[in-house]
Amino acid sequence: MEIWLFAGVAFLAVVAAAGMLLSKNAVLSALCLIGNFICVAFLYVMLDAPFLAMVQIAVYAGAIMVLFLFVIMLLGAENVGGSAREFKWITPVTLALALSFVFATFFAFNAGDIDTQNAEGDRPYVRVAHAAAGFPEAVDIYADGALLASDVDLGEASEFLQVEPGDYDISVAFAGDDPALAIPVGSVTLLNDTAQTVVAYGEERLPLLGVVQEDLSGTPSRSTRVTVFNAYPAVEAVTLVEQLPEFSSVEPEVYAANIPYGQASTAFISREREPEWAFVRADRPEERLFSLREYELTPGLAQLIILGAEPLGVGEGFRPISIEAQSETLATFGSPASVGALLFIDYVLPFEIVAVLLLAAMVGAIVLTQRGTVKPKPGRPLRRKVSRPLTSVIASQTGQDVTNVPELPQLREPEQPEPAGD
Amino acid sequence: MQSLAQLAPLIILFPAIGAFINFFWGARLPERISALIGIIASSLSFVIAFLLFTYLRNNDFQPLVIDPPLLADWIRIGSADLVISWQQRVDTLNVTMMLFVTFVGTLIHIYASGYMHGDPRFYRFFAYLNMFLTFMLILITGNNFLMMFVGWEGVGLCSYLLIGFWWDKPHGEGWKNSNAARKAFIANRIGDFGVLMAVFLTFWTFGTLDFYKPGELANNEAGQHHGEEAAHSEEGAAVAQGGEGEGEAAAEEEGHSVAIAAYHWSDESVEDRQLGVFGQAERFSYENRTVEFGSLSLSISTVLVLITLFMLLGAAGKSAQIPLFVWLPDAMAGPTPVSALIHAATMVTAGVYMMVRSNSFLYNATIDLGGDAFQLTSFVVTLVGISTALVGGFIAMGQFDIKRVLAYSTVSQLGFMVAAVGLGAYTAAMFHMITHAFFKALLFLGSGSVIHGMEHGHHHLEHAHGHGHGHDDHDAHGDETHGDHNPDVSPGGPTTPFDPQDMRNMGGLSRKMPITYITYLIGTLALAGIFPFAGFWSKDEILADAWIVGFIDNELKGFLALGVLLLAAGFTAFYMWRQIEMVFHGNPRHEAANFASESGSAMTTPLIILAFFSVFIGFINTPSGIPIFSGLFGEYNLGNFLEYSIQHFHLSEFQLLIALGALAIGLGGIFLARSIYGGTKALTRSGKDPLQVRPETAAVWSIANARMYWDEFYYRVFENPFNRIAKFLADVVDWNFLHDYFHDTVLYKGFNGVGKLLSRPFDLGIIDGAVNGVGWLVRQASGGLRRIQTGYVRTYAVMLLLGVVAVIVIMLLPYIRS
Amino acid sequence: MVPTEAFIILSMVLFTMGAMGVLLQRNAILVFMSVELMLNAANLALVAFAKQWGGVDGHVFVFFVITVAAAEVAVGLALIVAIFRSKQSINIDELHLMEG
Repeated sequence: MEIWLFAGVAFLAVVAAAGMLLSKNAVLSALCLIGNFICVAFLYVMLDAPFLAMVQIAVYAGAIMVLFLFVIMLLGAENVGGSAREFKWITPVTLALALSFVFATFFAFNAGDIDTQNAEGDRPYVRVAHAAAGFPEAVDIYADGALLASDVDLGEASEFLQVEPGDYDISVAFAGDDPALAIPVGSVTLLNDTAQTVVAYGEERLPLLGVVQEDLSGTPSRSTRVTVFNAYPAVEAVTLVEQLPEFSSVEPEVYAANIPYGQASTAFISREREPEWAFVRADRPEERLFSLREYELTPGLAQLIILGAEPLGVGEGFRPISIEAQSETLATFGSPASVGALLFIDYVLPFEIVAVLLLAAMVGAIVLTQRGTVKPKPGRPLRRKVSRPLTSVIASQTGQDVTNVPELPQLREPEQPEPAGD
Repeated sequence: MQSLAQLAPLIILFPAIGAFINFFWGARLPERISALIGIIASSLSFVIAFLLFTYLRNNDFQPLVIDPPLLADWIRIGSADLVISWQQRVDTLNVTMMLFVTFVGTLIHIYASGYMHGDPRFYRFFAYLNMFLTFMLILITGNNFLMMFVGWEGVGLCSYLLIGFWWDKPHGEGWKNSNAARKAFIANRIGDFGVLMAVFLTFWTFGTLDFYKPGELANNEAGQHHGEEAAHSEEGAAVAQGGEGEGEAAAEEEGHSVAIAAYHWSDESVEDRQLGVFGQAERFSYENRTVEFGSLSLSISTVLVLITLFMLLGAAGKSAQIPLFVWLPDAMAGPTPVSALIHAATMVTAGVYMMVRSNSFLYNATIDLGGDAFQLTSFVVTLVGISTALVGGFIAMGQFDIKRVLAYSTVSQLGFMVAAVGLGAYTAAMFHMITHAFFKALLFLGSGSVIHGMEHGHHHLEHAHGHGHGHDDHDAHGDETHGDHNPDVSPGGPTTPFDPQDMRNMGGLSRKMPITYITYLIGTLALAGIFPFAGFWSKDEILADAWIVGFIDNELKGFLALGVLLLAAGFTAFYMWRQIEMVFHGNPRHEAANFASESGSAMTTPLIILAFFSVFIGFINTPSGIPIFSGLFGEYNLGNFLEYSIQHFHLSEFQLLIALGALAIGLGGIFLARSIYGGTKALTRSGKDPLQVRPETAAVWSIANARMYWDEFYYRVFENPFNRIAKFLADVVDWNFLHDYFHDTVLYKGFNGVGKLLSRPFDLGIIDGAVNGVGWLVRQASGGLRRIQTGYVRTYAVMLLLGVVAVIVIMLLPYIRS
Repeated sequence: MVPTEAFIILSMVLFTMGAMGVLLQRNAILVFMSVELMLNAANLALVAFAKQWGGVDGHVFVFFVITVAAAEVAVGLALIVAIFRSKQSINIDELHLMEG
């Protein structure tokens, strides 16, 4: 289906380009070019570049081509007359060159090492959360012997880390303890383009591992993505409901229903800032397990809420707690946000340079099109230095022809000194 | 008071600044300002000299070495271990020199401001004079031979510049002047060679050129025999007692200061390198060391003989001794102040100063003569001095030029000084130098005043002639003067119809120029050695020394010196009185003399001052035992002053017999001159000298008049062969061989041949061919290539695309191959 | 999912057509338009590769190309206007003053 769409748009683009080339009328050419640009913009959308598509339409098809049309109409240059000189050879040469260019490119495409496979994607993100009520001490968590998070207390979660994709054996040790003494607790599989939170939970001494698949893609504006994990060992399943005032006749809204022990709910989008939520037993909704009081949601983030437990004492059971872990969401590929982030962080200097270039172009255009109102400055008349041939210089300096040997001057007879005397 | 001595560099700086200002801005300054700058610079130097003198008086006459700022490492050659500092010495010897040089110099500056009035190069004259003072003071104050040599050469240069100051006078006089300048310069060059050799030998021998190192004493016994001398004198015991007490007190005090601050070569704890050349010379001689000259090994006394003989050559050049004295009489071609300052009072004494300074050398310059150490150099010096004194005096008797008489007189008196040095009478030499500086400067300035007056009269005369007649009536002796003025005997010859310096044109000037006459008379009496004028004391001291050396030490040079110098003293009195008679007495023999007038106050004031000193300067060294004077002025002031700087110092007792004899000879010379030239007899009717016409004296007189044919002798023996060799070298070797044959034939033809070879086949064929070929190639290539530049954008674009395709293909080549 | 090769081939075709336009057109404005076509073809290739590699840098570069193209068009068209004023023509074959 998609390939056919592409084929149609590509055909249109080629036709428009050909129309631009072959049209006798420059205005028609410009219109064909606009068509071509629109087709290219469509292809941009297909290539997950909505921002560029928008710029293509607005700047290229809009501004630049309007400028072209304006100049064509201004100059009345729809048709250019016959050439002053016919370059008969240029057409065949051009065709030959074009063909050889196409051929060379094809060859390069085939023979060269151009990797046309899709990229592997972003490496997996992973973080850990400690909700194991039976193991209430602070822990270090290792993945295949490499430290994943250190000194994580009960009820805390670490930051996201990017790791290589693959299977990892997770082991847990007391904080600061020898990694060799870590207790293996299970294994997880991390794939590209995923984000996972590994939750250690359970009432036994040996914790269980639960995996929450996180969605870190961008959220709709002014909203938060919320995921709920049930790590409360006392009940089979919990439900997250809206907390209503007492004796309210209104049925409370259910956000995540019937989450089994050791499982995560599906993510839901919430636009609320300060929600009044509560966990209730799934089988007995009137039994409130835990209230999220004075709870705040930050828009644009992904929020993980873990309903955990805390040991009250030896043999005295648990009481529920909530563990919150937030993370920044990642911008969508090709979105204005992603382009802008790159543009204003990594490419800010080229951006500035291009801005200056635009300014210079603007000034240049004004200077070039301005009619001759600027008079040239009165300068001194150019004085031309004419060099004389060497022989004439010598002749003028010595007053002699250099080829003739001058007469040697005769020595004067030395005067006889008078003897000093009276 | 220590800081007072630090002023010593200024004594050089002031005249240097004066010279600098006058050199660079003098042309724009009015005469008065130029003169004022020169006079102020000179008098400031005198003030400094006086301050230095007071410093010495207040510091037990201890010598001091001053390091002027910025010049500590004047010359430093590390590889040769040669360090010569620009150090100035302040000791009694050179402060004495400084005092009279700057004092007489100042007076002569004042005099010159009147004498040179109206000269177009007035400012330059003062610049030269100041420059001369600068160099003279460098010569005097330097603490090493090299500084002395700098001054030595500098004063030679100034002398040259000033002798030839009127090089552009018309009628061939300028030519004479510049010839005289050259003569002086060349004669001095010969002497300078001697000085240089002496300096080189000194450096080789002692490894330094410093006279004395800072803190080193020249004479550690100075001030001690002060009292002994007085005690020896038979008369004036009371004075002697006082003197003894003073002397001992001074000695004690001095011994104290010696122990603390100063050392002497005789102190064995002092190392050689702590000593200057003279200290080392004394020590080397004392220990009788030998000096190695490569493979040659000489004893120190022999080396010192060599050094001092070279030094004597230098002194003969600078102080106009036989055989190099011939330049000095000719040097009178310079302006009279120059003659007075440079060629009578100061510069010519430099040689004497050098020898007095080197008394350690002279004393130890001995050869072994039958077991006895014979002071060879001293003997030679004495011989040179006495013969110069005699020859100078003899020639002076036959001269008519007023300045020339004085010039030969100067030569003669310098002979006295040199003879005194040879006799070991260094104090006497210095004493005579000082007195001579005053009275000879006075005589020269007086003669300048006479010349000035004569020129004035001559101008007046010409002026009067130019405006008409009636002049003879006004002048009572008009006919006589005309009659006397015989063109044939006129000294200037036809080109110079009037010579203001010729004594034959003068006569009777005592009435026209009374101040000049009186002062001149004083100078004459001083020079003739008449009691109690300055010359009497100084000349007598030399004669007394000669007597002591001869009759007490029983040395040959003493007898010789005594006899010859007495004769020369007689000559002195004779020619000076002859001059007085010719110039001032009798009747005017030329109209110009009749119209001569007294010079202005700028000229007469120095005359009066100098006359005053010519009378009284002799008292600075009054010998003991003179009834009134030694009580009035103190005994041996100068001697006691100088002994701090002179190692081999000794004082000679007053010899009444010698003094009376010399006085008698002087008076006899005067009376003889009076009887021959007195009154109107100064010249015969034919304008000849009375001695010339007497058959018994004619031959001798003509020898004196012809200056003993020295110049002619030099001309025959040196100058003429030299000229012939030069002519041969110039005409034959240089012109005929080098120019005609070598240059024209060998070089020119060879060059032409090579040039032709290079120009035709090589230059035209290969070089030009290559250059033109490159040009042709470029032209052809560009002619072909220019067609590519069609100017059509589309063709360029095609080329561009072609290039793109080509680049892609090249990039793909590895893939195409595989 | 359209393979990247398809976009590259399309880009190549468009580029070649633009190049031919530059070479064959005599109207200076059309030459310019052909240049724009070539730039677009290059842009298309950049975006396609950006998609393939999953990096947004290609997009940024395309953004720059569009900006520079805008500047170029502004100056170029101003030049054409100035030339037209003096020559009364924008036929580039008539502009060959730089002939060697």
